[in-house]
Amino acid sequence: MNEKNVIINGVGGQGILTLLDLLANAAMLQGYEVKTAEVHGLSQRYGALETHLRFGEKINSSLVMEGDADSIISLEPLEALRVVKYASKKTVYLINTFKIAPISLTIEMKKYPELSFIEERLKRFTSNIIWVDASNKVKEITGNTIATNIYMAGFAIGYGLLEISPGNFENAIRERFAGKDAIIGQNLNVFRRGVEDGKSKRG
Amino acid sequence: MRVLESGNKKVILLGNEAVVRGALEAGVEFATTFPGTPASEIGNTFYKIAKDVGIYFEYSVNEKVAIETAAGAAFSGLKSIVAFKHFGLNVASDTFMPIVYLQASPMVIAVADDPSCWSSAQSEQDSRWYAEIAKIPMIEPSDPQETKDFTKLAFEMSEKYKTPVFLRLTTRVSHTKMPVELDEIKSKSKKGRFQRDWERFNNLPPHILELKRMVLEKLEKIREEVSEKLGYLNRIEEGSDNIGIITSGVSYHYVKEACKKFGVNPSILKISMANPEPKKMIAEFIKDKDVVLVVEELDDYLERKVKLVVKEFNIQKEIHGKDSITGVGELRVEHVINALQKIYNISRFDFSLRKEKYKNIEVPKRFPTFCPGCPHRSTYYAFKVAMEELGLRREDVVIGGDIGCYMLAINPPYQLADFIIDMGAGLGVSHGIAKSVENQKVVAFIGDGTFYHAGMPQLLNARFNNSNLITVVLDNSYTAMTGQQPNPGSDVNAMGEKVGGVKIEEIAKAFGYKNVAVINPYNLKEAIEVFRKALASNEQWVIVSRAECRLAMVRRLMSKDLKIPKFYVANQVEECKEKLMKIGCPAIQMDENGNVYIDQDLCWGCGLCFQVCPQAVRAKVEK
Ligand SMILES: Cc1ncc(C[n+]2csc(CCOP(=O)(O)OP(=O)(O)O)c2C)c(N)n1
Ligand code: SF4
Ligand code: SF4
Repeated sequence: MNEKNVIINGVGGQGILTLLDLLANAAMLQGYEVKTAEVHGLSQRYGALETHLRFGEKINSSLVMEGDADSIISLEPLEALRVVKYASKKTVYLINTFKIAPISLTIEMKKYPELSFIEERLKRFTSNIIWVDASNKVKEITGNTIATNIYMAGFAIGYGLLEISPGNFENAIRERFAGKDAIIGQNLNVFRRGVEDGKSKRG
Repeated sequence: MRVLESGNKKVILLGNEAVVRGALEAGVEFATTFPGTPASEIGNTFYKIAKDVGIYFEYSVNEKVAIETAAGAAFSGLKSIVAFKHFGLNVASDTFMPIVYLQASPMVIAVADDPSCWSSAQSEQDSRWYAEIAKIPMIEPSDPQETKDFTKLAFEMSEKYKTPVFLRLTTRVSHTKMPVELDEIKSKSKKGRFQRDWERFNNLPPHILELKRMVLEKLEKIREEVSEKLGYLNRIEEGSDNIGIITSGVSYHYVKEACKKFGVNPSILKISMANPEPKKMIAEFIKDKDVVLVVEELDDYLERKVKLVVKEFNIQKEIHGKDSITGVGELRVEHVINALQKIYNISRFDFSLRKEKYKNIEVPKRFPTFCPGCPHRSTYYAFKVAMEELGLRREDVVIGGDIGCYMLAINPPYQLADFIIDMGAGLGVSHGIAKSVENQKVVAFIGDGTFYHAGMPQLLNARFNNSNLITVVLDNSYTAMTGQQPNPGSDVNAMGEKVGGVKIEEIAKAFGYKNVAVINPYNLKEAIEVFRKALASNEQWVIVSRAECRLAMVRRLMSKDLKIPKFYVANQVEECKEKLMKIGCPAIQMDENGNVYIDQDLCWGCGLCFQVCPQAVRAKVEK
């Protein structure tokens, strides 16, 4: 593999920086050079949050070029649309279906757009769009949506998007949450469910 | 913790963590900071590890105090580091200049610029110019590995040449993660001793001019011994094309990436010490090139230096820089490719076509907002109601904003900040307005962190010069926006000493304010009443709105496995719907059928919505 260019994004508070760190560590364990970039700041407070992950044989820039993303993992549907400039024919979109309405809509009492509206626009750039019912799945497993980030990583790895082995990601989980056995256990559980579902989606 | 891993290992580090690791490997004994993104994680990491490593760390009241404290440590023979964001250097600059003359060393001053202003509302500043004014050697790493290595090197240089060293970072270096090779940590607990030295510290004229001469000579020595040393900080990568690229910092990686993607092979001069710049190396590099392109973020800092070298060495060359690469916003590989296409006169990429395609895709804005349950939201809500109840028109009330989470009030739905300038300026400028206008009320909002940092002289000034300014201090016990750092209002300092927090209302009283009130923003009725009273009077007021940062509170509850209170919508009351939505809490949402509901994962139970619409909202009782 030469290089992988990945965008991971969503809304501040969805555990995106944790996901980015886990994937970076897993990529390192896989033997790649890796760099990540956090394009955020004021955006932590429920604002749009965009991060970049690049790994492969030789990595210089930590930022993905426009149209150059191999995959885009979006934890929120509208946010998927916000980063469409990184997509082109080769891009695979993995999008969590769980909607978080932005304040700009709610205070105006406006409706959140339909998923089909979002998909129609994304399709102008790539036809590989996979909707993942991640947050709802995670809620079934753990009772809340907090581990959605971990499930999405599992799904992406199971689907074969990242060329990172599940074992290396699991080790990244163990390193990051060292000393918190209950959290490790739950995250591993969620991650494995994601891997399974990703695999079966791939068929 | 990764920053404390033993040597001979590779761990993933954030650029800012790499600063800390580099300092630890150099044997740092004393660290200070004032938080500010993109530099915040430097201080936050020291905060987490200082006690374990046995070194001293403090969150100082502001950057001027932070640099002074670190200089004091260096004067006492301790290896010290101070870190802050670019605006911090503005605040610290009055001390930054003279400590170069006074040879504060071993000392590293780490400053992070923020191209694109990801975390900065005030201006897009290029701090490299400060190196010029202060005559201080400056080192610029391009990624976390270099950040660690160069921080260590900065300490060595500082010690050897008896000068503080300026470590200049940018967002893309500070906020990039990559695997970093570690060496052993040398830091341990140490006490110093101040050595009196008349020759060194006498900076009264005429001796000050001697000191300046010495600083200039030192800079020339560093130029010869460090900057001109090929392959050390500054290095050349020979290419096969007759084109030369001179670059520094993170731009180096964009150049490498662009050449790879574009398929060209120019020679590259990578400058990691741009002050003092390696004049001979630059001249030598340029000599046999057809065209030279300077690739740098923000201003034409390097470009000007290169153009001076061209003059000095009498070389006739075409030098490109800001004529081909934007000076606004952070650079990207795309910018470098565009510049290369022009210089090589080949066109392989057309980014503008793509831009057209996604320009017409409108995505609803998602501007940042207060956390659910944030005390600031309640304060602004109460203020808005008080204004409405008094029948005050918005244009008759001037509202000064300031820097912190509460500046989000400039956005809808509140829009209760008319201007935001820099830390503390809200108060100072509002006083100026209050002295200038009539028939307008002037109110200034300021956070507790900002108040301690740069609000106290302004509050004193407004009192002394007698303006009828209403000052509202939003006291949430933390410097919250940058990551809930403790400040002088906190009971415990960064070293874990119980020192007792300073109360802002006591300061206001000590300054001589007569109308001083403390409100609990979660008690809506009471808060509205106090704001009404202040707005109706024609007098000076200081109102302290006190409630803990909700995010900090929720984190504490969660770490103790305690339940967070929740509210829910029990009745769909038609006339309440809009009122509830206009609170602007992320937890309050509307479903497909137009029913208002409260997301139970998001609600942090402040009860504001309940007080706004008791007919519709209920507290959830845990069974
Ligand atoms: C001179 C300077 N230093 C640091 C910063 C970074 N900064 C931005 S917001 C903020 C926090 C202000 O804290 P506070 O006033 O308590 O408001 P809160 O975020 O807690 O609401 C800081 C330090 C800055 N903008 N300018
Ligand atoms: S971090 Fe604290 S002060 Fe800032 S918006 Fe969240 S709750 Fe409010
Ligand atoms: S939903 Fe109501 S109680 Fe819950 S955080 Fe928002 S305003 Fe506070």
